[in-house]
Amino acid sequence: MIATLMQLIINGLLLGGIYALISIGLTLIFGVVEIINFAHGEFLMLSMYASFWLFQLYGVDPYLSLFMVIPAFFVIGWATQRIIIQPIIHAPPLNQIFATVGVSLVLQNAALFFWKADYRTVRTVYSTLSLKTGGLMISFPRLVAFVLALGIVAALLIFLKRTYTGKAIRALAQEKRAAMLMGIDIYRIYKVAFGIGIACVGAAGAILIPIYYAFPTVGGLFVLIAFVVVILGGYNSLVGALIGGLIIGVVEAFSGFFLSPHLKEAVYFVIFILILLLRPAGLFGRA
Amino acid sequence: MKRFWNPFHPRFYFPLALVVFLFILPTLPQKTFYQDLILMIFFWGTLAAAWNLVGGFAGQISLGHTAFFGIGAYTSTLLWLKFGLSPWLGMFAGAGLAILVAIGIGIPCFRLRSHFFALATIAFAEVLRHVASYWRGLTQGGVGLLIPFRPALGSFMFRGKLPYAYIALGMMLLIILVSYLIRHSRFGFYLVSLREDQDAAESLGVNTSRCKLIALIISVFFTAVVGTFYAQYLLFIDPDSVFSLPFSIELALLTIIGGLGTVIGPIIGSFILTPLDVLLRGWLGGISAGLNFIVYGIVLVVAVIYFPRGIAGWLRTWYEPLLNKLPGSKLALAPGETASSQPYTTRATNPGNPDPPDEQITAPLFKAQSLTKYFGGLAAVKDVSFEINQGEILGLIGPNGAGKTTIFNVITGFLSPDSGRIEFRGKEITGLKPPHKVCLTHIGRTFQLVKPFNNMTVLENIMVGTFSRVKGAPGARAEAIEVLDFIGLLRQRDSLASSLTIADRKRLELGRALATKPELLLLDEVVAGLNPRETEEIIKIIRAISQQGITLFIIEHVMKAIMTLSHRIIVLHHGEMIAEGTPEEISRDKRVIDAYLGEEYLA
Amino acid sequence: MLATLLVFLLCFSPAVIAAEKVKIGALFPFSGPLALLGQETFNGAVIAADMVNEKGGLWGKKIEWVKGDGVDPKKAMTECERLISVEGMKLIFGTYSSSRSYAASEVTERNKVIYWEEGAIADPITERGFKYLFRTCPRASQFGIMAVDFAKEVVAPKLGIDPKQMKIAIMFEDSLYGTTVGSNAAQHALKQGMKVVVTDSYSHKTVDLSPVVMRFKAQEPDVIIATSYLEDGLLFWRQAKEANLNVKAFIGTGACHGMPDWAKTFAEEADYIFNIDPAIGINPDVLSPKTKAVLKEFQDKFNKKFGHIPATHASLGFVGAQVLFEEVLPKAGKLDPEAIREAALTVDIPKGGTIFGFGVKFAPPVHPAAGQNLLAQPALMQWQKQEMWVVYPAEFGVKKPLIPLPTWEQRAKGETSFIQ
Repeated sequence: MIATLMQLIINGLLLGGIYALISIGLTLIFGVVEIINFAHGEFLMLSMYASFWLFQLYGVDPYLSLFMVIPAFFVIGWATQRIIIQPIIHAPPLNQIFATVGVSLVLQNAALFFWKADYRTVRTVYSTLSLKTGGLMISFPRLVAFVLALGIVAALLIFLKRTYTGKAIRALAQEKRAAMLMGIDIYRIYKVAFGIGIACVGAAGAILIPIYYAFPTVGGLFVLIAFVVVILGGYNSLVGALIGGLIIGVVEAFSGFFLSPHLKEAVYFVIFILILLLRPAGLFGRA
Repeated sequence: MKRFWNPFHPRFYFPLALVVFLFILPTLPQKTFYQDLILMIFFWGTLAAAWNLVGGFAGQISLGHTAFFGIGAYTSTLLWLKFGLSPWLGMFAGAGLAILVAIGIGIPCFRLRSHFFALATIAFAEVLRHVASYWRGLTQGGVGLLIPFRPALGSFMFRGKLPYAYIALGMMLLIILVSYLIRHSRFGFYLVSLREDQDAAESLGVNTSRCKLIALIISVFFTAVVGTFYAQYLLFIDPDSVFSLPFSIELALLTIIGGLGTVIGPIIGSFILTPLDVLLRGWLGGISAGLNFIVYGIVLVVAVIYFPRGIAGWLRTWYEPLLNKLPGSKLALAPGETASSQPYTTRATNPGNPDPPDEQITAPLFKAQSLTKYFGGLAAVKDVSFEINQGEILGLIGPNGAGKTTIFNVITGFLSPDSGRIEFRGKEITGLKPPHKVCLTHIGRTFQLVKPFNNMTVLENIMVGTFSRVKGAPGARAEAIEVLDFIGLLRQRDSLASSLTIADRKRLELGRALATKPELLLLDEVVAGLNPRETEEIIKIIRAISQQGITLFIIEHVMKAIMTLSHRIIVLHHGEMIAEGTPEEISRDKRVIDAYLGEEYLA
Repeated sequence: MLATLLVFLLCFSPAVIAAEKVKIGALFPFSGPLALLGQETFNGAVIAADMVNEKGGLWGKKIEWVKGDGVDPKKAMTECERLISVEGMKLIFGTYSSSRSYAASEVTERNKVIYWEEGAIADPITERGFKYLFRTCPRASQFGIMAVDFAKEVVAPKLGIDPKQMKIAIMFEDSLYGTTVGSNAAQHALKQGMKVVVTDSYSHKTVDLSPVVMRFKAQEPDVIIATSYLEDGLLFWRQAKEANLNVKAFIGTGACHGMPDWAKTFAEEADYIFNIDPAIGINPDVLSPKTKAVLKEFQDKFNKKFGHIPATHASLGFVGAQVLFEEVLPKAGKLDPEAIREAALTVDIPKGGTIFGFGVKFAPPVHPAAGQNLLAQPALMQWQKQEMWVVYPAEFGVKKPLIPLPTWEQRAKGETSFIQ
């Protein structure tokens, strides 16, 4: 029994690392640009496909493809902010919601149209590799995802604390008008923040393709989880996204085992609703 | 008083002709495929119009409406399969259950901000989907439920498509009628006002929580009933098809493109998008998988950014000229009336019983005792006590951050005091919440940053206020016109509030609060941002208000205004009251000069 | 205005164009999560039609397919409507997926159009007393029962375990297909007095099956009986390896575990899995000489056109279409549902007459399983060296079953050892 519990915790943490990875970008965008990016999952889907095609056509290992995917997606994020988000930044919430919903529709169905609905996967030597320690099985690709998630959060935290742009981002997230008065070009910072956010989710896609299938609607599955993590962790806290992701991962692993595989997703949605109602600022967020 | 409508006027016979055309429409095509298409137009039109009540009129973005659709479908189907209960009755059972669930969701979630409300509704629908999948014993889970085809009226199953088409048409016409009635009723005004600015609406006596809930209940009723219709038409339901997020998004899509918040918008959206969708899919077969949605997505993004009013807004511009070209447009709408503006009467600006401001009536109208309000560790208001006498004008001054607006917010129910007591007309109202209740005790207020209902006309803005006194639309309109006359905005009454100058917006704000016929009116920096001429005009109006017998409590920074208007003044500094007295006394008070006025004021 | 537009469109409807072809509706999941399997199945039917067309076609006319995309059960119904009312189809051939078949055949029965099912196995499909529905393949209950019988009669003795002590874990995807097989297996096992230690259903669209893997691992079953579509089946095996879940026998029941993708994806790790399906890799002596020739022709033509040897699903598509085009339609004389019905009811092919080794005889309308091919039966196969061979029942068998399943460690080291 103990062994099972330990394994569940390991599984949960590793799963949580993946969720954290996907959510980091979302919380950054949310905290700075204050837009809920309903299309976040579709960017994940795109980057999974990107890594898939790089592997399929050119034999590029997904982890190596990170070097290409991260800058590419930064640019995509920048462009998205410029073209789609900028015009609606002062619009009422309804317009903001549906603009990103529209983007999500377009991306999902463009993927469906070009690449069909087949499930794509990347099979590398390490795809099913598991490390065995003391009776516990640790899946290698998931461990990599976990470590990289930590790494990305750490890197982002250093960036935000030490660099000028990073501080500008934090200033903007805290108090927009003061940031403007201090001479920060807030529109440029929006683009940077959005770019970083999408670059993060781009990295997530490359890291996930050895683990999950890519198909046009895969984004939809993950984006809802990402929302839960972001709200749980506090929507302007990177550390919150990390911790929140780990918590959700462990909750999912335990409820899938003790309740039913069917209900594991229902459980974290219930948590989501409770957080929204009882403590909307989440664990680490500011009200 | 009964109004006769002239059946020869195009305003009446044109829509009637459209309805007749709709009745003929299902009989036109030969192939059942196209009959199905027409039916689907009515189906989606009804659903979108139902969603529009909540998402459009009330501005609450629900992306979980599929939950109610699914509850309706599953309830009636299970009742039919397990107990043989006719789906006609099961329909109401489904609607009833859906309404209960909606109330359970709505009450806690309505206080969430829009993005979060949308997310919460998505989450609820997802939970329901998983539960339906998991609870195999009840719902057969992922296998779904198939209804054996036994056509009979009582079992809500028919051979051929026509009966279904007419039921769908009936539902659609019903929801149009309901939407129309709501739009032109007090309830409709209240919904739009709370969408435009919830705080302002509350301050005018709108019980925003209850309004949202009622809109939700009506919307959910229709959505669940259509869910039953769907089950009876397709004869197969499973969790993925009736509890689907894309379904919720589709409702919003149709409504936005058609025209959010209009009566006819969702219907137009359905008439355009449904055939487009079905025909595209049917003709391009497997090739077009996704193509139609790419188009919709782009249209949605473009519409939301550049054409937020949807097609209905654009249609409206040529609807009137079209009507005017039709025969009969010059006729009277009703006996004795013309189609143009309603007649109005001017009102003298000096009625009522002016109380001599210097006389003290026995008990003070308003009493505040030891009011205290903390934000975290900071005392925004500390131990403030004062009285306001009937008919007087009490001024409230102090440096920025002194706590003046906080006091207003505490009095009007936007904040609760941490300690202290508030009495009005002898009755205690400490901590009375929510703000609409305070309005109903005859206390009105304006806001420091004006909050006009931007998408309503000036007249409609005022009507939201008059509706707190008058239930019917004609009466509310008549009274609103009087108020407009009083504040001098009669000429702009059909302009959208968003098009007004700042001075006029201030007047609008004032007039709106006035329309609720308050006994005590709280004005928060009404004069700020006005040029001298505008300031003088508004001061004149304020005086006229006072002469009507209304007691005024005014926050101001413009010294000239407040010194000339007020009978008495209290001064707040760092949350504490540092002085109280006549304008004369205050302007000489050393503490006030130090804290606020400065030496030069004396000169 | 809308009406005139519609009338305008009606005139250009494809069905108005004159046809010198025999048009058959093909309703399969051509897109969506089941697309791969749907397309594969249809490809088998395409070869059957090609073979008939080469010999001059049906009634002198070429057979032509008119496709409908059954992405999900609801779409399958509306596509079916379209095929019937717009394209004028009198016969719908399909559908691979039980849930889609069940829903769409309601539409055809209502419209008195023939529904010819080649591969969806859920029993309820032919338990509705339909007159216009015919199914050539075996039923889910047979799959579930065979899995349990095999465990009891072959696996248990080989392992030296008392069948009543053997621990069975059952997993199935939660649509009609998986639920019918899985519940039948569970019921039959309990009736045989065996221990079913865990039964788990899941959505075949899930991206993570580790809860199921974990729950199974905690129970330490001897045998797993699994009913999965393709991606979920592959996912489970991957996650089972990651978690080091070992069992002594793994019995698939159609879909995933019979597909070429199974072997392609896992190479050596695919070996020794059992799968129940209509027989591929059957003992050739069971087939009649004519059928042996047909089998060879089918395999060659399929390989030439599609680049690989046909596996179970393509073969199912082939058999369903072949019986229709070569036995039923010629007898019917025309594409008329009543004539086709009567012709179908006269079909009587003995054992060995189809490439699966079973015969064809459809149950009459009064029978509780009206429309079902009562002679259809699955066989149990095993992957050996990434090829499928029948191992049970004995008379159909070509090779001997290799038991137990190697553990993941053994596989990693390249060791295997079987009890003979």
